[in-house]
Amino acid sequence: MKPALAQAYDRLMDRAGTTALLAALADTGPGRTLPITDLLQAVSALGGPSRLGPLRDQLMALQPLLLRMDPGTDEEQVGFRHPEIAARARARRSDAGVTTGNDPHYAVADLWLLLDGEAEAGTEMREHLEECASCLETFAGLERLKLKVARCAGGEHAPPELRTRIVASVRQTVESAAGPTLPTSARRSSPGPP
Amino acid sequence: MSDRRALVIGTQCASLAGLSFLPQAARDLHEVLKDPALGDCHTAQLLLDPTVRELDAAVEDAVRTASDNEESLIIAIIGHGEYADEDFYVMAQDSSCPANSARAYLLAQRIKEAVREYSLLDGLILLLDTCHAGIGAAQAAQHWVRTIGAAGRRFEVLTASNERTASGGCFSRSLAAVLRKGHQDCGDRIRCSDLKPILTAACPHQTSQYLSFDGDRAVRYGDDASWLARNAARASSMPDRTTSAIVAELTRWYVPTPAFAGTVRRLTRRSRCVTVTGPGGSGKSTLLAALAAERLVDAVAFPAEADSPDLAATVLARQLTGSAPDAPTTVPALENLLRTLTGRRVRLAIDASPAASSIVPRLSAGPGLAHVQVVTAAEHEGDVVLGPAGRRELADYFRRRTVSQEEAASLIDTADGDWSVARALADLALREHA
Repeated sequence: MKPALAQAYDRLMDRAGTTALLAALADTGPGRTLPITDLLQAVSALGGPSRLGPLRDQLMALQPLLLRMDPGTDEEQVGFRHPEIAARARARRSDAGVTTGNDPHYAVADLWLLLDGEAEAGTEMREHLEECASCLETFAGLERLKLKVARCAGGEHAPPELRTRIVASVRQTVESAAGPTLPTSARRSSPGPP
Repeated sequence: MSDRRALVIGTQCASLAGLSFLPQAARDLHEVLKDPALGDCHTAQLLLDPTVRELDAAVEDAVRTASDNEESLIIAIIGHGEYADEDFYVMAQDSSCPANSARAYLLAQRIKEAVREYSLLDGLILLLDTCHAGIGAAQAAQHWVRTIGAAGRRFEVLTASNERTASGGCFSRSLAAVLRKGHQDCGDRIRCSDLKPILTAACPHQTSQYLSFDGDRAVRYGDDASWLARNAARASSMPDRTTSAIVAELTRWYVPTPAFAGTVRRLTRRSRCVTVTGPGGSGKSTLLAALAAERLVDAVAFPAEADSPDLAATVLARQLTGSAPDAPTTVPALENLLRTLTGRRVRLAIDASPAASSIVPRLSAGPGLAHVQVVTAAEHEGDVVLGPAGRRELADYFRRRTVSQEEAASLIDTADGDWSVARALADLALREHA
């Protein structure tokens, strides 16, 4: 990607509070879109808005980067408008990470990297996961979320019960992993760039 | 969820000259906003000739209810306006001059207070047709941007600006007419940002003013989710929503290039396969989308990296059959379908992708498919070469995006012939220099 393009995309993505939204969209895959209801659940599970109005506020803030079908309706679908934008969003997630101070656990952003096969210290991280139930749970939750997002983006819809179960599980996993060990600020902003 | 609510207020003022276009202009706008096929507001209230107190209560009630239900809210006000210094007042039935907040409706202040108190709105649109409404919009920008920006909420304002005391209701009448009939220059839905130039042309004695706030700052683009009505003039011809949205997105500010004409020429010469080639950012996908937008191809597909050839075939087949229930879902089935469509040329466009690499050779050279023409894209070895965007083309593009000439001059240099960079730079300019 040309530096001028990467820089422009970075500036368009630099909007406060949109970390969870960018993270959820980054996993829809190039050329894919998510139903607004599934996007809301995914973003909410990642610590972003849990109400439609605030989510759409963020969608407007990022609108130049997005493809929106039937916007403002229940049937709305959202994705990045170009594969290079999705690639840039994933790269930013890789670059940034969420700091957790002296916390011994891996940041959610680092676990996203591992999940994407982009973590530099992948072997070391996997060894840690074998010993750390907290990080393993978080990783498993992210994996389930990624699978769910991929399935939705592919046009298949999970049964409502499965959706509810997965979202509840992800939320519980993220919160339990973050709760006793991560500072509140990290919990609210993870994963992705600060 | 995603419900829409409207409040249309048409008000005469007993102490000022009567407005001949009321209440009809308000009724027309109310009708079109509540029409399920157009404005699709599940609740649309019409309030005629209210007192100041009634007007204030109605607006607050609408904001509160919309917030409680997390709905989008459209407020339209048609009537007399007055201003004192920078304060803009809507003159209600019992208002009198000189206006003050006790005997007239202090628009920006009261709506700001309502939105601050009831903050779960899913978008707010204010349509304002009063004399001196431009002052109201400017004031709204001053008063609201800080409050709603701090709350992270988005809203839009569209006004008829007219310093004369009788505007003739041109704005409201034209607005209702455009929303009812639709307009070719708009997309599938009509938005405030689309309407500014249309209403300016329809009402040359008034200046339409449009303000958009993205929840944090004023921006020079509209909120896709804040629409006023479905566009009756542009029912989508594509049964595939994703493809339709991609085509609309890619061709939104399309600047035709010589390569477009070259591709069309090759199609008319009956080339079975035309490959558009050029580096990333040269506009290959956009050219294919433009062919679809101009209905020069019968079906188009923009397969994602991971899409299978069968999925691409399904997308094409849906368009060819009008989404028939038994439309083909595999490449061989698509080939069979195409073999039945004899007697005319069938033109397909398939964007560069792994799926295209598999499907294009079969469709453009297969037996019994001599009547099929395929346009595709590739980075190398093509028939139509897309070079870097020229300075004149880029200048045209930035003008279409309403980027000022001064800004555009430096952006053209930075874009360096790359359409993707130009697009991103225009987006930034519209967001950061509103």
